[in-house]
Amino acid sequence: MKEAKEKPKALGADLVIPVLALGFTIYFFFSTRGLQWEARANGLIIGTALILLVAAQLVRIGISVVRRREPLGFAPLVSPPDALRKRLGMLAVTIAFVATIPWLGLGLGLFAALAAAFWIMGVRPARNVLLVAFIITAVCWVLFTIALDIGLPPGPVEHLYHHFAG
Amino acid sequence: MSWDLLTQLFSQQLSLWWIIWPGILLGIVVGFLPGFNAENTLIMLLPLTLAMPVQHAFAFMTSLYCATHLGGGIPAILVRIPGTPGAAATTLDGYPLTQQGRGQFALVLSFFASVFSGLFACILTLALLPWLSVMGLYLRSVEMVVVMLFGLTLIALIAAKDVLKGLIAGLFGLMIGMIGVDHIYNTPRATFGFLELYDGVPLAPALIGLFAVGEALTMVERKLIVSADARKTGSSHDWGQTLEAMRYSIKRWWHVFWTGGIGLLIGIVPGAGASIASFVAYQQSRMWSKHPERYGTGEPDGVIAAEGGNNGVCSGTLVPMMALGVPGGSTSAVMMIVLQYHGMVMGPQLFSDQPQLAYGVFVGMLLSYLFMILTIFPLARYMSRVVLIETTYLVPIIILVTVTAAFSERQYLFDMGVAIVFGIIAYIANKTDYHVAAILIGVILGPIFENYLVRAMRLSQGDPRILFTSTLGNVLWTLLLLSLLFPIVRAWLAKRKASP
Repeated sequence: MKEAKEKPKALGADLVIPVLALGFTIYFFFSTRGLQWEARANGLIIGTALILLVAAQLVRIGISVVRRREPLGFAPLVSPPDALRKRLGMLAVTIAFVATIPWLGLGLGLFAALAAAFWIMGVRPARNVLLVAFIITAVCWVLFTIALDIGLPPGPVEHLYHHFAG
Repeated sequence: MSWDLLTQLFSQQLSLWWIIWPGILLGIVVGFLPGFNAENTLIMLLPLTLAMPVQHAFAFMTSLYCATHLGGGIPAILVRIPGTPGAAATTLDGYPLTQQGRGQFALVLSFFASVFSGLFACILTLALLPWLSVMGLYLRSVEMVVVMLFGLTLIALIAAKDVLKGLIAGLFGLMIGMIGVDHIYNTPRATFGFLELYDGVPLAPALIGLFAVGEALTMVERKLIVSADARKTGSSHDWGQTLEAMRYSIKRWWHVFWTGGIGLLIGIVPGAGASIASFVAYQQSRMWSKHPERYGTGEPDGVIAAEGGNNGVCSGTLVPMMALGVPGGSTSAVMMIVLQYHGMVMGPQLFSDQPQLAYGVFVGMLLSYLFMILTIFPLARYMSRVVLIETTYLVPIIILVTVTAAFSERQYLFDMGVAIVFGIIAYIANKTDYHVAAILIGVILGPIFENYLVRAMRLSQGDPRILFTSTLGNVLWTLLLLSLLFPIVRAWLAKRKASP
């Protein structure tokens, strides 16, 4: 059998999903205590199976760390450093976009977020950043606000549009 | 239905081409956009459809509905973002094909499977309508538990590479799917105190997070979606891959038809939908394949199966609505509003009192699929070039536009946050080889499975033996068991044959 290409191992990263799953399962059990059996049965069966699987994964990782001296780091999640900087930047811009949309609306909010995101991703010169951000925003604005009217909170651009369009 | 009536209906529906075509174009756009679906678009267009004559309204609505199912597969293949939940299974093999520079090939496979499985399902519906209409009545909660298990076993198949990681991902998804009020007493479970989660995890934002945001965060470190080797193949815009995919699909016509048949049968069941159908069709296709190990790595049959199941559902969903007055899904419920507004009485008498309208719906659907061939096939070679856009542009556009689209389903800003949270989970899962598709299968199928299981168990007052009390249910159990055992037996036989 052809062996898969070996990736640098850092088993701490492998623990994140199991720990999240375990945490959520415990929270589910806690939040459903005292409810009727119909509300709990499925969760109890699946949750118990999940806890057993997570335990097995913990044992497997434990063995790898102790016997094979494999590192317990988070390299797959945080490398390469340049990409990590871009990822965190993208997340920060997206969170800021969602947080400010009630005031900025789609038009201004999306334009500012796209421009910032392109800049973080390394698009240069600034003229390209602004031009592409403007085109994408205009298309999305027409689609989401005019054509489909999805009901996003209005901002300065939307107020201006309604002022002129009636 | 007589031949005369059929030809009359055909020419009548053909004269509505001017309304079918806009329906198709709008449907493809809506299907392409994650967070939008036929249901919310038809609701928005109710003032228009209510004002139209009923035949016109129905031709428009069905063409839009069918086209959304086709459109959902396009972003699923090109950028691993399913436009609709039904296209989630398409990402499993469609996106790997795109990464190999075969995006055009995958798109045409998807279009071919969508159109011809839809056509086949329409013809089958027209021919077998009296029998199909009562079939939904035989599939009750007990039988549906087994149907759901067909889909859920896909988690185990996906987990084949690393069983432990795959199963953890799948069960984590199933647990997430249980967020929200329970199906019997409406008591909230694991909602973190958010009222917005009482209806469960919103599917569109979860889908956007798991696929669009998660994948975009992962692709940051690459210059292009496709590998350097695949760039040359991907940049070709001749008809080569289109013709190759058409030849392949014609050769695999039986595969297109039987996966469409699965979609049709599942579509008939009220409450079941395209996402279940596509996962079940994909699971069955993989189970019976001679090369199951190729699934998930860019297997053309995987794309055909997912899209075949996804589109076979369309005509099936309308059967219970027309024949029994029970909408098969939320989209057909909106269609029913329009029909009732025009004074139509749903039920068996509709086919005897107004055969022009009742059968005309399915003939109109058939024509929509034929029109789709002309509309979409020539575009595949241009669409596939989207993968040549650099990720410096693609990543911000994917993340910000899809997070905006997450708002549209329920119009809660909260849902945009849900998309971000799922995006982070998906990024971690992608980087550590926990299968995102397994999480999604759990999130989609988990609540529906729980609903059917709890209903069945309540009927028996907690006795699990009820799951084995119906004849149809037992037949389905046997088929499930056989389809699980078949690959094992075949592998064992092949091994025995190979050994001297």
